[in-house]
Amino acid sequence: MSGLLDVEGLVTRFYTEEGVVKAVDGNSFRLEEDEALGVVGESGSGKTVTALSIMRLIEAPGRIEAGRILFRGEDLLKKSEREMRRIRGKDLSMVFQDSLSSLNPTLTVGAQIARVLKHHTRLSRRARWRRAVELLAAVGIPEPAKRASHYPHQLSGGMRQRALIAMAISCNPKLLILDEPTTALDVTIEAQIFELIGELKEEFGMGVFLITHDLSVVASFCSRVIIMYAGKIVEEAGVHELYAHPLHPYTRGLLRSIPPLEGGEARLQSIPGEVPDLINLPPGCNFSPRCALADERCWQVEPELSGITPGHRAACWRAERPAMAGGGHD
Amino acid sequence: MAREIQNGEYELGAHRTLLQEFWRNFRRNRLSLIGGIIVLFYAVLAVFAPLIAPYDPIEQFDAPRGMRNPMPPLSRDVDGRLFLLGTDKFGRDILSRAIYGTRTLLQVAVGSISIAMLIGVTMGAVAGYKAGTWVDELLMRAVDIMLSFPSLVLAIALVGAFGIGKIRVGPFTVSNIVKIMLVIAITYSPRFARVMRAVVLQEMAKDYVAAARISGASGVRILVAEILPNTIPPIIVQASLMMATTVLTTSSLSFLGLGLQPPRPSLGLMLNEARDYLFWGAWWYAVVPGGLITLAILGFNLLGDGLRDALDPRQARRRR
Repeated sequence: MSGLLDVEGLVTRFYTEEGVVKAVDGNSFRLEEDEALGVVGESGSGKTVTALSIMRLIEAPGRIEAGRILFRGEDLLKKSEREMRRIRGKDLSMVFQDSLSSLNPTLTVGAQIARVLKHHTRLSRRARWRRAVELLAAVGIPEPAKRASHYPHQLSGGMRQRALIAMAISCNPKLLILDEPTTALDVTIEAQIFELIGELKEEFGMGVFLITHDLSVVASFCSRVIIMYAGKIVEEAGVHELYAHPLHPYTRGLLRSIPPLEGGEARLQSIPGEVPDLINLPPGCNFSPRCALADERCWQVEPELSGITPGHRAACWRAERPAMAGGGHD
Repeated sequence: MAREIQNGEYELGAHRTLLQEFWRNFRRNRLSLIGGIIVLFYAVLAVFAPLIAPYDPIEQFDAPRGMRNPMPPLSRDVDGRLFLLGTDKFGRDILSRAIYGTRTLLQVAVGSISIAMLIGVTMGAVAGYKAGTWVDELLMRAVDIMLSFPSLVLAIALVGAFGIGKIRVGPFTVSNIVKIMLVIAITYSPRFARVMRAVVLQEMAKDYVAAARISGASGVRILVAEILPNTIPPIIVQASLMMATTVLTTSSLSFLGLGLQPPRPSLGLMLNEARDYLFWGAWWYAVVPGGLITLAILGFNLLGDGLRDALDPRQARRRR
């Protein structure tokens, strides 16, 4: 039994002049068919590298060192570049955060969508254009026929992001990777975009891999969350479970740094210290230098990501649920 | 659908095409307009030379009794024909020769810039795309070597290597004018290669290239279909500025007797002939070709600067 995407022991490293950057360090996770999986972490925690590894777009000096990426049961790491080109944009698609630089400034929006269709379908020129206009309409752009012949700089940020999503879903992908799709947008538009993605997900039945550093976005959109820290998954759980019982001290820190909706008089807390240097990772647990609970074992031995309760994994020596540590059940 | 909340999204500027935007920026700068007009004047002169020139540029006319060639402006020959800008030492009409000379000059300049662009852009695009590999290294070091020579010296050396006049390459005969175009093209292609490589590197770092890869495009397709259109503005600017340099180099080669060969009318050659007559007071002989060369260089430079300002608004704003 396999999910839509099974990543097993993925290791991606960058060989820079300063040393080896362990950008993604032995991560495994699964994404079920039409599931929305959120990946949360600070900048440099390996979220984007994970996504690019799945797309097989890691370039020198980077390399995927080990692991398997099973997409619909087939290992993407065993595919040739040519086979990958047929998969990218068709079954496996991705949207970047900056919509202005993600669109080619010299081509009209319609032409860019039509170009993707040209790679993957046998539609005629006219049919491709018609489909591009349909897609622009599907992502909620008004006057799509007119907008299709506009250049990216003539559209607003929200519309560009919609156009980019239209491009990404043009060939009905099975999995859509969103890399911080709303960072460059303001909050009202962010809400619209997620509403749109949610609708498209239902309509096309695709899996969504959402990269973000915003836990509140995940809460409203995803069913499961992965928390990444310094290239490793430190915790994975269903959204409600994670918010109710965060196990990893880092996750708890993240949750404490979000302003609460009600009675928000208390000071927000930030996590002390900095993200470790990915070239010189500390021995033991990566988070131990910043962790208030860390003890001798945390500094010396690296904890494995393991199931603490069903459907809830964490990589922490101190991640015993208080209730269970007391011996009872809740 | 999220269609209802569109009011939060506004448009940036009116619906202008890229061309309209460019023209708006270009028009704002008066100097570049003057440059454009000068270049247009030369283009008309070159294209309609046979219609504009009053006489055949090679035909020789006899000076009337009591006068000698070269005759000053507004003089007449034995049959009463008027020479607006005078005649040269063989009794040929300077105005007609200058017009035809402009034509050849522009032919060589446009031809060599086109070839230089073709070679340079290809080299630069490949080097930029393969940046950091041995291909890039090889191409760019070759470019460095060529750029280490002063361009006129390199051009002279190449003419020396090819020989003066038309040349034979196997079964083909290359006419003198094409040979000169090639020489100048080889001399100036490295500059295009450098610019092109830099622009390609800059564009490759942008997200739309990654987005194209994500949509399943191959490397060559990305380079040609996605990146190339974005490199056109800086290449146009470079070409326009290089036109000025090429006009000068072409004229210099002709002046030195290494370029266009007589009796083909050439501004550089006219300038050379005029040297002997300067002390005899024949100012028109040198001023006409010299002025035409100078004005052409000025025009192309002004146009190039204007194009840069219009095509790269960021740089223009910095200057103001």
